[in-house]
Amino acid sequence: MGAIAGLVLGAPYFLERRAVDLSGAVIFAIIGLSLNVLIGYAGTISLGHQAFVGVGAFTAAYMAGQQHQPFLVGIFVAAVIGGIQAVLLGGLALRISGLYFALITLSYGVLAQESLFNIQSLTGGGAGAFAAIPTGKREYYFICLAFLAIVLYADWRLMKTKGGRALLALRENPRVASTFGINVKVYTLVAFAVSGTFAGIGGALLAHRDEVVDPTGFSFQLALLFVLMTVVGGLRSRTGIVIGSALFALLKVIVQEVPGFERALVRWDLTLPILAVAGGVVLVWRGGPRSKIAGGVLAGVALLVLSPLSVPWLEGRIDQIPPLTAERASGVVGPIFLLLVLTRLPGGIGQLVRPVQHWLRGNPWDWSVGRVKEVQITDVRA
Amino acid sequence: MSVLETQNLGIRFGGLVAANDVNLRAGEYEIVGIIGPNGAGKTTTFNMITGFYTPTTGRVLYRGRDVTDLKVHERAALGMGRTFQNVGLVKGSTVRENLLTAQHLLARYGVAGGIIGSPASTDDERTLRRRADALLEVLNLGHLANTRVAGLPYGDLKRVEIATVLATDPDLLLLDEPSSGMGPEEAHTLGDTLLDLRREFDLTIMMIEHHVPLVVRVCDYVYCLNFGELLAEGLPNEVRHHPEVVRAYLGEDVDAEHESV
Amino acid sequence: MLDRLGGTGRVVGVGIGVLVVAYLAVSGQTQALVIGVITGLGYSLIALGLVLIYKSSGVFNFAQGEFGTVPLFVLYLARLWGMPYLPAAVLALAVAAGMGWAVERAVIRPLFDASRVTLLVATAGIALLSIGVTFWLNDAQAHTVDPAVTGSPSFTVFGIVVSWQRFLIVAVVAAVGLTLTWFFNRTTLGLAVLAASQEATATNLVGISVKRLSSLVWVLAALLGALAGILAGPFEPFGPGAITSKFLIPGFTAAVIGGMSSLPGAVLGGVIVGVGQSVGASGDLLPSSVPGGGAVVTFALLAFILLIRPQGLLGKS
Repeated sequence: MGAIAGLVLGAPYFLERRAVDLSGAVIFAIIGLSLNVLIGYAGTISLGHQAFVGVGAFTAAYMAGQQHQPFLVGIFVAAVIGGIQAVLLGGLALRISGLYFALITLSYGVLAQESLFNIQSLTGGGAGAFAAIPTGKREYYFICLAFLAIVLYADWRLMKTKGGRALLALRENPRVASTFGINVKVYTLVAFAVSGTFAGIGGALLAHRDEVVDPTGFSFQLALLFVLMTVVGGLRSRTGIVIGSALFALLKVIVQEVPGFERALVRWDLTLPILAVAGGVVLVWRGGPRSKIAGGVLAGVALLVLSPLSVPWLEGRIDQIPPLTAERASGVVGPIFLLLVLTRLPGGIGQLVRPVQHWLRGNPWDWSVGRVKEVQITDVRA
Repeated sequence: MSVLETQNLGIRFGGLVAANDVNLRAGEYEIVGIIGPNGAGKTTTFNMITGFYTPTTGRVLYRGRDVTDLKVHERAALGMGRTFQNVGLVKGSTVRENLLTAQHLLARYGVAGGIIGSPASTDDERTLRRRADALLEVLNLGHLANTRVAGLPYGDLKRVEIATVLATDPDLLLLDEPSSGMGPEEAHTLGDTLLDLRREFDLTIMMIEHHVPLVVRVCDYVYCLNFGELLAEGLPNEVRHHPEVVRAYLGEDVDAEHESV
Repeated sequence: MLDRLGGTGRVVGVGIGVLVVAYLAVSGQTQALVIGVITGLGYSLIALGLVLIYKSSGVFNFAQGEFGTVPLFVLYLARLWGMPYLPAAVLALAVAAGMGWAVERAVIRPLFDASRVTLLVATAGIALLSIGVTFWLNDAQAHTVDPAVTGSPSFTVFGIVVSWQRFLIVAVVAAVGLTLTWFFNRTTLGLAVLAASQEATATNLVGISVKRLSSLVWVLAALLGALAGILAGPFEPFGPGAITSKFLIPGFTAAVIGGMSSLPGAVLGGVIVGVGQSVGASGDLLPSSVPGGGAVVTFALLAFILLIRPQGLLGKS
């Protein structure tokens, strides 16, 4: 535990020039937690979350840039406005269900990016809005960390009390929840309010970190990325989501900083076949009859590719393909992780972390703690 | 004054009349049984009583008050508790968490207070937890407090469901086939449990049931439904031997003297 | 509320439609109208693919746009390498078919029993993967591809010059719409697909392989997406995720407006969204201080239909 704390607190000192990215990791963790409230706790799929974050960002920029308010006031107002716009969208959720509401959130996200965030008087139009960073880059990391701590505390308290329990109940079984006296409509809005507030904080911190807020950054791809990191982190697992979100934010950094990693990616024409051989061997060794055949084929083809026979033929072709830089790698590796989680590891990183947490509490090591059979966003088979 | 009364209750789904002119009554501390073949409209009636369906005709009166327009959670607040045919619990949570969730209305602090960690919220939470543990003890479920509901065997699930519905602090308990899946001995024990619970918690109970010995033993009054209408009502043994009731269960050519439900 | 109108509702709807068209024509908005209809038909192609998959498996396919972008890239590369147009287009369609098949095998089938929401997220993941890969392989530069049919602009509608390419879109949509309707209503295969979507076990027991049908449907949907990409792509420079960012949301809106289970509805919905967007973007609907009229109208149409008549204009309750 001490080691982890040391790593987290000491990071900006080891990696001073990456302070901005580290702040980004913390901010993404906050955003992941905010989306988890909707998807993980309340069972509402939201594909427009970049709008929630953007509202926070532009509000903070407005408060700092146009109203000349101090940093903390801006964050507070951004949180409140974020909560309010979320509740308004949530109002639609009460009338429109499940998959169709997902479409509404997607459309809302595009609406925010193309229309709301371009209104001159509020956001400065396409030119962008400005918000100065209140301290040096390294100190800002600790400010973000402080807000993450606040959000984690609030999330923890929420789930320990009647609000959180109400959400989990209405996610899984709204009929039974209402027999407990839970007003499903009201608590759905509560989920939106909390989610929007957390996202607003994240957005505000983002605005000050970048000092410029620009509508083009809030695309629907960002919304999908948020969903991706929340699901890979593991729904309903705070630790998993913090780790997962930070990982996605830092993917580029990790590739660039860990020695040899970038090289391995650039020479993917070597790395991939080697991995394929390894994977094939594992399948042959461990898998059922069909997997053995598949593994054998995989390893065989990979060896063929690597062998001196094929190298000249491939050499020329490979050069025509652009190199797999760190930046591009994150766009490819991320979705692959998502698909793997959905099909093979439904609990995400959270599922991996739970045995560790269980053991840290003094229990004997148990692999099966926290095993999840399926990514359960909602039990409603819409 | 009766605890529950339905007057002329009826509902149609499109062209299908699922229930028509259903008049039920449960007096204070009575145990009322509702029997009838499958598809008779029993659960539909329960759904109308609890607020899941809106009746097309008639009204539901709770302690004399017309609650027909109230939503499910509002009726729960008045004291209606209900179980479901396929066990109504939050399966992803533990047994204790289910009992805590069920005490939702007893937690008087606000959501915001809970998030901040106000003294009121911590006090209330402590009280809720004590109540939950006490209830678990009463039903011999203490050892399962931290177990996730999803993995529990069927018999335990039914007991947990009863504990959970009791946690909502009901005056009127609507049980939907509480003995389903139980053999004769378990059903007998269930009967004992219901009588004990009625006494300890001052309950009025209305239950849909198929298990005849249980109904005869435990119920003070019985209604029989068929095709959405009241077929017969009265004391358990009267209804059981009623020719119409027998015919409904066993078909047309039955000698009423030699057969009984 | 509109549910109960039934036949009256259709008359009223058509009446409103006629009024809108007349207003546009009279006020000189003919450009918006014509462009709107034609763009809308592009949305219809995407919507047809979406409805096809929804009808047969209940899945909202977020990768439908990428079924359009990837073949577009293939077409571009093939043309770059000197292939004549028609073989290049066929190659692009073949790649699309392969992609549809691969997606179904690798992602959809393992998640067969999962909730529809999980599958939605999975298809979103596929879309992201596709965008990531095309981004890697392509420098994110915008490229242009020449259209299928060139030649001097050939005819005018309401005084607007319509290129042959645009006309081709209309023709293709008509052909596709008719073929699909015939397929689902008249052929045993089509009926089998519908049967499998409603009752997979029974269909299997009767001897029809539900898995094979699933592959078929996804290949068809991918081909529809590819058509949308290849036909509509050439009008502007495109980059990674092009068809998804411009066509997916309007496509979904179109499918919902028409009714997620109605193929003719998809075509109608596309036209409605196209015209609506066109009107919204033209700047007459909203005050000038509020930009992005197209997105506003799209959102409003979606919200409106979901609140008032969730089964869509031509869908059944």
